[in-house]
Amino acid sequence: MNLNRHDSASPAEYEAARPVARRRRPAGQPPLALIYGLLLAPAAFLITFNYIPALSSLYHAFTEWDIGGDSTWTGLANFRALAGDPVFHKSIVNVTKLGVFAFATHLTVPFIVAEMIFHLKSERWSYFCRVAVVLPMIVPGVVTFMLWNFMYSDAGILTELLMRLGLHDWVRGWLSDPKTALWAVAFVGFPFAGGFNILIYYAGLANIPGSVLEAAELDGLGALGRIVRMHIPLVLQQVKLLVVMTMIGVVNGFESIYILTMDGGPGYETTVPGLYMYLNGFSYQRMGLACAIGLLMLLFLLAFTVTLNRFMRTGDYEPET
Amino acid sequence: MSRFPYLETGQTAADRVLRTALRGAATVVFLILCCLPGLTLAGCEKNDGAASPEERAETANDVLRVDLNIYNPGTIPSGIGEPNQVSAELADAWHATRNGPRIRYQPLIQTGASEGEWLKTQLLGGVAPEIIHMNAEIAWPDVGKGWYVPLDPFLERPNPYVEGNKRWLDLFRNQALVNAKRAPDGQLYCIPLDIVETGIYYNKDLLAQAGITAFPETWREMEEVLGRFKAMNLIPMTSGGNLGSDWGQDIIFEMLYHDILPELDLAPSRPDAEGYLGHYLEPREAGFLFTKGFFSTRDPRWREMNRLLLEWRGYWARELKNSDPIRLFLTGRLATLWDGSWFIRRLATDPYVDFEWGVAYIPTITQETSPYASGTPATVIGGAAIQLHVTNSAVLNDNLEDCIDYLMYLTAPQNIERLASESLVYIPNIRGAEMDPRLEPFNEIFQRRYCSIKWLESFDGEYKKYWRRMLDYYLNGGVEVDEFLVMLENNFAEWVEAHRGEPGWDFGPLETAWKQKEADLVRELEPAR
Amino acid sequence: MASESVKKRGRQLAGALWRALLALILLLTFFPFAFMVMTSFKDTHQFYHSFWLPAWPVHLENYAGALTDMQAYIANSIFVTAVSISGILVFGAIAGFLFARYRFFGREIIYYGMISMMMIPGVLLLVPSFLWVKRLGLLDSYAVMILPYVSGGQILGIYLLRGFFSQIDNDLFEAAQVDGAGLLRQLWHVGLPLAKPVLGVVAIVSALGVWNQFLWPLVTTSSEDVMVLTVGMLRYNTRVVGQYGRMFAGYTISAIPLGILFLLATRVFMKGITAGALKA
Repeated sequence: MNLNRHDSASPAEYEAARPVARRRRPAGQPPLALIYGLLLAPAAFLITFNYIPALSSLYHAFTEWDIGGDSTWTGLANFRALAGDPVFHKSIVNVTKLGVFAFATHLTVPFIVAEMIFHLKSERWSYFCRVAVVLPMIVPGVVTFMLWNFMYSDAGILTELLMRLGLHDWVRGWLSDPKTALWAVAFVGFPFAGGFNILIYYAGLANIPGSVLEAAELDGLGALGRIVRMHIPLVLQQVKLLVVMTMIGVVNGFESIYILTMDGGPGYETTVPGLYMYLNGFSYQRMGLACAIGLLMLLFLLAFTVTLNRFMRTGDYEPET
Repeated sequence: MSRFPYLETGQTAADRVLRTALRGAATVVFLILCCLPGLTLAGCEKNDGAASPEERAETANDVLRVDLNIYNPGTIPSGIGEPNQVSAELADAWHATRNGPRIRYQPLIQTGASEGEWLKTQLLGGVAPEIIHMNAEIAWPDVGKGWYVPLDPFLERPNPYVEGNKRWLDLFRNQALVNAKRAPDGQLYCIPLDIVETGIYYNKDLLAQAGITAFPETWREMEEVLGRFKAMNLIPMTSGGNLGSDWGQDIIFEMLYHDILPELDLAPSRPDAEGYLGHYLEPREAGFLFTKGFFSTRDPRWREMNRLLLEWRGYWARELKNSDPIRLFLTGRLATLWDGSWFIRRLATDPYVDFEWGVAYIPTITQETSPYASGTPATVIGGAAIQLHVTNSAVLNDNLEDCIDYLMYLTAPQNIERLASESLVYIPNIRGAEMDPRLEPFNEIFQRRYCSIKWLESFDGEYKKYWRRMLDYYLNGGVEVDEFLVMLENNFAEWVEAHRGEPGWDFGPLETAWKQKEADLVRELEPAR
Repeated sequence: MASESVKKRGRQLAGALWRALLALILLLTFFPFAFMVMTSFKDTHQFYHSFWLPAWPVHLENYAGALTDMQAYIANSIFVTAVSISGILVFGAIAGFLFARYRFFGREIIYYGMISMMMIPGVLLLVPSFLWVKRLGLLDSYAVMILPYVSGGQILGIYLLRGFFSQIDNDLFEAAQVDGAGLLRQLWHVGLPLAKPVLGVVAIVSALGVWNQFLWPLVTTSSEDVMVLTVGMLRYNTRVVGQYGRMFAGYTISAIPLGILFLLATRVFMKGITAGALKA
């Protein structure tokens, strides 16, 4: 704002000397061109790498699509094929089993562990434990699965342990025996003290106002009572979050199965829809069918999230004082 | 920042940590970016298909590039022991005897692409090594492209490095195998240098503990021996990965179908390959026979084969795919191991092997075990190992005579036996080559006939994958034999349908041959329902 | 009184039991990794005969060998992650800033259009994305990994940074504006310094996500030049079959990069992990 100011200039002259003001935008608003220009790159990326594949997936679910890129419209043929496909049915059964198991363990064990850490008197120990549970996460997921693959192999920890204990008859091909394969996959990550979930629960517990905690103690609630009647309702927000995350993980996560069994286990015992989609797309070259499976998975997840939102209406929980 | 003094907020601990982290990360990124040009260049060099100017200048007449696969110098076969040296010594010795090119060994780069893909690119560009190893079957589809030099004219010459040799071709011990490697056009494009075979390694000490002195000769005896091992809490038998079921299927198949194989073989193979490929069923033959009812639920031998396989598997280790049978064998928990001749290397080189071992083969299925048994010995599943081809590069670089001479040098018995004895993985296919006595059992095994079909290799694509998957499922108790046979039948039918009408799948001549044998063969099947 | 002290003793005992249980759970969680590190120093013979206990002499050459095999993979992973994070931070900061500070036509539509992409898990887009990048000719390059990661990862950045920037007092920005700072200057001199914690969280969460990507690199890359750690580990695994020491040395090495990150920024790391969960 370096205007030459003539001492003798009057305000009116001053105004007249100023360059003509352009149409004023709201204070500090940069030119629209700049805004849109800056948004162009992110938006272009999103359109190229997210929207186009998403819409492509939606479209091709109704086609037969081969690796060369040609696709022919087949309407609901893919869905009809899936409706009658015993492998697909089996995969749904498998993912349901895995899901139930995941919900039973990945929601409860971390909560218990979070509670235990929460009840530690020493802040230093509490921090140490929290770091300790997070530490296994520095190993890439893939490597963890390969480690578990080793543990299930016949040179691995599980078989060796049984042999050491003399229980030769209990030894199985954990990942190749139809009776144990799915269980073996489910138990990866034992004892399920995954750092993620524990931290989330812990954050929830730590957010409970101290006054509420004191009030409960004064009311004479025992530890167990406190946990059941107070902590759990107050962490419902976190529970909801974890339920959604676990569901997404169960429905989409087949990396572990891929590394453990490569192809869906003995027969189709460890095939889940995600893996089946991958096999159809990249192994059997039936890409349209793969998109159809993907679409069904997405619809399921949407339905689940909507239902969950309806059932677990949690806003900020205001405890009654 | 100094322009806006009002923004000097207090430095919190988080700030400090973040700053350190960002600085650290920035340094790391910067360092990596600096190294990147170097890394990419290094990577480019390794995988560059095109020859650099220096290489091009070198190639013409000066250097012969050779890939001997497992015999290349510096390779450590089976990952144990000292790196190979003999091939380098041979190259130097050869170079010293004549005024010709030097040998440069150029191992094939593993790029993860399917077998032969990378080589085919190089062949297309005329930059492949002059001498390469490749499975003849993979090369056959491309012989018309002039990528490989037909070797018959050269094989008629005498080999100067072998005293008294009139014809190079006579040098190869298993002539049937050599002829089996001829391309469909009748010409031979490769030198089958050696043979790979499988055998049953057994722990003599454990065998003695079980009260057995000699490895069983019949199937029934074998089951009894395996049962004893099981009672001793040992793993009686296993093989690496899925190989047991893969190989086992083919061996049992042959022993059960042996009697009717001459009839079943509607399109006989070359007569001069008879000793090796006698009664070999090509995929289209198998497909045709299926349409007539064989290898289906109507075929009692087919059922028997799968039944026996399951029964046999009962004595194998519980875990087959995700297993380390070598460890089990070397620590004395596994009594017998069905593996290839390459395992000799490990057994011979590992200083910690502390037991006596021997090599045997699959016993014969006799009438005691099955009514369909022919009583003939189990057939061989192995075949040619290193198959050396001379490529178009030899022609382009005017090296052909030198290549042939080097091959003749290599195949001289005194030289090949050094190569083989150092690596201890394959059996030389050269007359007069003395092999390491530890390899001798495989030589004996290879006197047997070749199996009549390799089922899982004959199938392709998703049909092969499906069979493999369901076979594992069946063998692990996931499905009963009848249901399994139905699955196989459906899969087989789809496979045949997928190939019908393809060139090379002409059922016409097979139909004609069938007419003559129909009466006899139909008797072998159950009536259609 | 007697009952009081009994109760107290009982509670102490219960407390001790719970702590023991916690210790047990932590032990079980750590055991596989401890085994992995212990075995990484053994050679095959030691592995056969001394399975559960450490063995001497210690075989450091396992690490040397593993490192030679894996250094290319690690370098590639670091490169891809670093570039992706940069892109994510840049786009996230700029776009988040724009959405937070300015009103323009279509702002909410564009914003929700972007955020809604967060809802679609990447796995479902695997097949069509693959064919699409194949058509674009991007297969087997660094770009095929970096570009989609930036595209997907920026969403979290935009979300968190919009939230953050909209909470900052307007005064600060206006003061800068008075001093002549345009949009970008305001962002650079005012916004970013304040946003450091959020940027840190976004960086860590994105880094974790990108580093651990497995399926996408698996289907889109096959040459060793650009192969990242996750896929390279598969290759590596098949190369070292039967050589347990070497195999586990490789596994241990694979944990080092993230371990370094962890050491440098534990608090941000921990916060980042929790924040990543909020992404859902």
